[in-house]
Amino acid sequence: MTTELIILVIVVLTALAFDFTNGFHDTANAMASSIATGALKPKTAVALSASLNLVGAFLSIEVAKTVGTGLVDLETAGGGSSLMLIVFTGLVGAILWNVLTWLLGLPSSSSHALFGGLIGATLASLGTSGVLWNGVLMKIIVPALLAPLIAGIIAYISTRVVYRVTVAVPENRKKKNFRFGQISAASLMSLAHGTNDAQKTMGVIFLALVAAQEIDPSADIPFWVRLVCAVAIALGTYLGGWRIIKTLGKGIVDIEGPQGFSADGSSAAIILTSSHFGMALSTTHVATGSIIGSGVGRRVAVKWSTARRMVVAWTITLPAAGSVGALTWFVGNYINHFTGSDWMGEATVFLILVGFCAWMWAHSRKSAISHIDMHAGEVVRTREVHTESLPVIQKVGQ
Amino acid sequence: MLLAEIFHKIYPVFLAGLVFGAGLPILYAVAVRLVSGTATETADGTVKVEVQHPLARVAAYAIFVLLALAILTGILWIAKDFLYAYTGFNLFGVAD
Repeated sequence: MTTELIILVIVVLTALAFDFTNGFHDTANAMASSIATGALKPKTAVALSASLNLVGAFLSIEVAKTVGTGLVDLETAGGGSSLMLIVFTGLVGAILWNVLTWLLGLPSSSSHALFGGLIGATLASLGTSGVLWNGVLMKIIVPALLAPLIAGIIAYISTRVVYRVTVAVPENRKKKNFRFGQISAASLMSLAHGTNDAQKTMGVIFLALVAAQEIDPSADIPFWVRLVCAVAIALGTYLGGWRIIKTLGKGIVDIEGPQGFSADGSSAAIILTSSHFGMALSTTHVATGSIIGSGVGRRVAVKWSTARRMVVAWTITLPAAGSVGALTWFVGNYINHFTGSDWMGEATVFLILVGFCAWMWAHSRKSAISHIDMHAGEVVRTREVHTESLPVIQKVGQ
Repeated sequence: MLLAEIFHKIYPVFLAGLVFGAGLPILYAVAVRLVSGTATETADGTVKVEVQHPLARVAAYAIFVLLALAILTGILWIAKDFLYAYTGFNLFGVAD
């Protein structure tokens, strides 16, 4: 096996790992409120979302073959191994940020993490000239500030009117009808998510294949790339990211049927239309804004402290993922430089990535959150067997 | 001027979100109201449901059909580039 091939395999695996974190990080966007209102059982919700993400991923045809167009100028990287290192360390920055925010139970945009990581690695490697700052402002910072506001206002209006219109509707009819409406909106969001998000990873893998001269730049995306990306995002979605689902579904506002329906309806509509009408908004920011707006619309208490933590997380997504991207780029680059090896740097960064992820996962087990925590009623751990990681839990009050 | 540029980019996004994101859910709520009848709580605490006029039911079902079409359009919208590449079908002429 040649050095190029070893590095290519590492980069492709890392890209798939990112795709996987993208999946479990974003399950909450589409499904948190359906789970919170009881429209879908927790396991059913993630299974539905995962299947639709899988289908959606195969629907993405116009795959961005250039990653981060308009944000970073990778032309000057000159291709080959230096381009490979930028893409790789960018991915590492994105994954570590995704796993950390998951550990903290905070929804944050996976696209922003990926772009942040790439921007950081580009800055480290090519200097400030490699980054297109106007693109960063207009495509990342402005949408991040405006998305929750827009979604919040629309969900607020929708919730107010929906409640006013249905005040005289018998409770059982309300429950049944809005449950159906909410599932429809959440399903559309999941399908759109698969189409939009899986193609980011497909683009990264394609770029790596081009850099390794394994494929012609004008070729179509190979079928195996589509397949593995679709499966990775679907598996991630099925895993669930329960910590984030808990925050979005139960941590900010109490969500009931018609309100969850309004929130999901506005999220789905904004996600489907925003890029066509001029500004692509992040699913995470839209979904969170809608849920908060719907809570304000129903006049229930909003936990603004949690909302503030999220906004802080969104603000630092770009610099945080960027710093990790830049830092790991320096580590990788200088290890290669001083050892004279072509792959030692990449291998070291890969081990750092695996090590940190394992550490954060182990840390998460101390206060594990699973689908059981999302059912109604109180969680009672009846007995613990064998190890901390295998508690036997049972629900009461169901 | 940057603010003007931002405003020009954002207001169509907001309007589209408002029409589809608030309009369709509200329409659905109206249909649910029309089909369900009116529940009123009487003095002794029981809930009495008044049956709706048949025309209200017809209107409600018309809205449900409209919304089903909207969801179908949503699915086709997500798949528009895929459909265009494989079948040549160009939804609203916007696939690329």
